[in-house]
Amino acid sequence: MELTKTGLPDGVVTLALKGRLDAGTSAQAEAAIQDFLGAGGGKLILDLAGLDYISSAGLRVLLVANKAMRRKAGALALCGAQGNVREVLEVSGFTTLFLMADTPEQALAALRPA
Amino acid sequence: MRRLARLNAPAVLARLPDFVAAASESARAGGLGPRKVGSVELAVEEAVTNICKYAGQDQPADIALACFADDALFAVEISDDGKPFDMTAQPDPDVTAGLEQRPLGGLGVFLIKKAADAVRYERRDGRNRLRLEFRLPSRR
Repeated sequence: MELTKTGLPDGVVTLALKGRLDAGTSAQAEAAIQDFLGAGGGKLILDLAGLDYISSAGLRVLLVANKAMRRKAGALALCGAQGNVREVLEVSGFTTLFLMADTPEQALAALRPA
Repeated sequence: MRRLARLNAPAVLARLPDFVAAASESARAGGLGPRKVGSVELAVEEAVTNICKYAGQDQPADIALACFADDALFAVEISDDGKPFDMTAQPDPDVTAGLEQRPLGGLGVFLIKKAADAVRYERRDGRNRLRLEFRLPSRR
């Protein structure tokens, strides 16, 4: 799995995940999210457009991140999920637990206070 | 059904990629499309992970994986000599629960049931025997 971190205006960070988020790579993603939280947290967009596989190990990372963001009064959005990844998020009920967007731009707009 | 692959290995997470790769290659060879191959990989990852984490007692369980196909079905059989565990008898998690109520685990078995078209379990000769079936696209 490849992870790319991009800083956006207003302290928003985008983390793009590419490849597979599974039992073998979930620790890497969890560490990157922990780094973000450790640096003060804030608003995080996880860009899943390049992700072509997710298992329960990956779902666990997303859930841990969401719970941690909630505790820290941060905000988390997922964007770009497609194919099998989108299907797994849907059957697990995650599409109602997370702020979902199609693109990073839409996610950014959704995270901005009205 | 013709057998496409067979792999025996101890139930340790370091071997998980081998089990997933064997099932994935067989699924492709057996005629499943890319989306369905992803479902096979998911079901096998979840099943093997559970065996690695929970089936062993003093030492890791032994896992035997075999893949079969005919004109209508692709099947993965995963057996282990660990503690008896019938995943088909597990209740489904509440996927409508809110964030605070969501436990961190418990989705693996649910994902297997969703990914496979049929899941069968039996305990026979001291082994858990799980059979995951995936329908092949019809050839009409």
